[in-house]
Amino acid sequence: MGRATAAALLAVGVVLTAVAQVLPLYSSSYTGGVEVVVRAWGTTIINKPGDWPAGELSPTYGIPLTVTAVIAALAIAALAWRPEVARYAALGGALAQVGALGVLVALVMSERGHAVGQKGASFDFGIGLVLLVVATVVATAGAVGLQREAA
Amino acid sequence: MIRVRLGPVLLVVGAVVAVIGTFLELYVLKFSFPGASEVHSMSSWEYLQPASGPPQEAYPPRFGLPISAAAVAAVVGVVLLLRGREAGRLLAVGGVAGMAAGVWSAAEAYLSMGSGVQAQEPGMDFGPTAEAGGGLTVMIAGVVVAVVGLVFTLRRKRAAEPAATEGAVVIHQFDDSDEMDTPPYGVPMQENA
Repeated sequence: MGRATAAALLAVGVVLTAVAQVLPLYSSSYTGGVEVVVRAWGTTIINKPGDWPAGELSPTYGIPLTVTAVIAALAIAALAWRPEVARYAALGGALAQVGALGVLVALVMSERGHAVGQKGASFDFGIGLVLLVVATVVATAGAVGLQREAA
Repeated sequence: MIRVRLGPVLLVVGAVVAVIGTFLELYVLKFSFPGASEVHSMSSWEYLQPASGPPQEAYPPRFGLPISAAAVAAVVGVVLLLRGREAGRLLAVGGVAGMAAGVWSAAEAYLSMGSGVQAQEPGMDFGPTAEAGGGLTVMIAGVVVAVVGLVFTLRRKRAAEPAATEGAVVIHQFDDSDEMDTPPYGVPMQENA
C-alpha cells in the first residue's frame, strides 16, 4: 500500500465517522408506537407519551469519536512536514476509535438485550453504527498502511 | 545487574491496573422513593447491586471486554517491541490508544446515566443520582500510567536506534571485551581484484 492510498483510506475513515455522528446508532420500539432513536449526540423519542418523564437520554459517545477522528485528520494534514509524528497520530487516532467503538458496541448490545427482553418491544441497529464500524475498519487499514510504508 | 526499563514496566503496570479497574464499581445509581431508597451499581462486566435484579439486567454493557482486549494488545506490543519486533510498536501504541478511548467512552456512558434512567422507564418521577465508582478512577489512573510508560518506551527506543545512513559503514565494537589482539577497526585485508 502506497502512502497516498493509506492517507486516502484514513481520510475516508474520518469522513465516514463524521457522517455517522448524525445518523441513528440504534432504535428501540415499544408498545403504542413509542420509538427511542439514539444518535451519537442525543436521543429522539417518537410518539412520546404524556407521562414520559422530562429527563432525556443524552449520551455523549460522539465526544470520544469526534476526538479520535480529529486526531486522524490532523495526522493526514501533518504527513507532509512531520511524517513521524503523523504516523503515530494516525495509528493512535484510528486505534483509539477501535476502543471507543468497542465500548459503544458493548452498550448497544446491552440495550438490545434490554429491549428484546421486554414484551412488545423491538430493537433495530442503526445505519450510523454500521457506518461507524466501516469507518473504523477503513481508518485502521489506512493507519497501519502508513506504518508499513515507513518501514 | 538487571537493567529495569521504566517505560515498559509502567506500560504493563498501567494496563494491569486498568483491567483491575474494570472489575470494580464503574458507577453507582441511588434511587430515593418516598420512605425507601435503593442502590444500583455495576462494574464494567456486570451488575453488582442489587444482586437479584429483574431479568433484563442479564444484559449488562460489558465495557470490560474492549478495554481488557486493548490492555492485552498493549502488553503484547511492548513485549514484542523489547524483542526487536517492529510490529510491537503498532500494537503498543494502538493498545494504549484503544484503552484510553475505551475508558473515556465508558466514562461518557456513566455521565449520561443520571438522565438516561429517567428517560428509559416511563412513569418514574424520582430522580436517581449517579456517582462515579472507584473502578472508573482506577481505570483512568491505569491509562495515565500506561500512556507515560508508552512515551518513555518510544523515546528510549528512538534514542537507542542509530541514525543509520544508507551506504554508511557501521562499526560494531564490544565495550568490555578482553580481546586485545584485533585492532579496534579490524585488520586491513588485501582484496583480490
